[in-house]
Amino acid sequence: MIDDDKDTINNIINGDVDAFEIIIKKYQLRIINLCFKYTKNYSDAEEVAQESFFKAFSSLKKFRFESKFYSWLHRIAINCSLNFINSKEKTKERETISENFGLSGIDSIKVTTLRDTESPFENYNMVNLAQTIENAYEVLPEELKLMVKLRDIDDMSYDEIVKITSMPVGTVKSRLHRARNILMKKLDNKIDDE
Amino acid sequence: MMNKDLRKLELLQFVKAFLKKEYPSTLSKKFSKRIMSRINKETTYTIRPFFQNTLRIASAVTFAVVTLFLLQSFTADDIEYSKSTINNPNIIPSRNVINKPDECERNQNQEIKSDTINCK
Repeated sequence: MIDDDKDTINNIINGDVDAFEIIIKKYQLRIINLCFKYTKNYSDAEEVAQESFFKAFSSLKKFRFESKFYSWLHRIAINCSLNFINSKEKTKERETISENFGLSGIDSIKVTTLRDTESPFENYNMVNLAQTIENAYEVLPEELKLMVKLRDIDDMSYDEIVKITSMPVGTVKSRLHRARNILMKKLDNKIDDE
Repeated sequence: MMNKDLRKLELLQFVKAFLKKEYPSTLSKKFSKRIMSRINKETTYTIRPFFQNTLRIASAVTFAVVTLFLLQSFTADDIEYSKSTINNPNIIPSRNVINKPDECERNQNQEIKSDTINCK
């Protein structure tokens, strides 16, 4: 099984710790989204996702390349989410008991306050950014739009795209590269403006 | 260079997520930095004891090797054996050698009795 991340993971295992940021940047959105399905709260989802990445890093030496790295990370994220839900339920139970005894849930108040202090400028406004990309995609030339659709939306392999479009793989790759560059530039400008 | 590549990678992942409409509504700009700083903190803590332990083991082994070498060199058998058989039948045992311990010596740690005083 060929894993795109094999080289990166080997580099990390061999001591290039900073290379783990490549893994984070690559999978952060997917992992946060996955955690959100369990936590139903983006702040908690980010927290659980952070824990998942950290656990993945800590046990990276145990990864045997028998499956895709993302599948392994996915499993870790699910376990972390389930642990989070369990611990949250236990905290709730404790809080209920404290309230019944006339005590306030001081710990929970502290946590909420800390999370709320994070400024909105420290977060990406993903909805706005997504809107920018959707608009930019709509105005792409048709031949570039098709490449983006097949490769990035429908997750097709280059071989499949070549079969469908009857174009040489070089043309497919260069068109896709051009289309992605246009979209990425739009996004970069939008992020700088915010 | 690394930062530029990371930025490109992040932008590409954003684009893909937006096109697929699979993205969280908010994301901290410091998300990856926070994880990396935690990782860097933890790895320095784990690497330091590893090196300390290695150093300790190495110094213990060196000390053991040096001690063994010194012990061996000091206790080396320097006796030169004669190549021929030595025949000396006239070995006369010393007259003062007896198997009985001296009476005075035996009574040394005992209470002084009247009869042992005579030994002095």
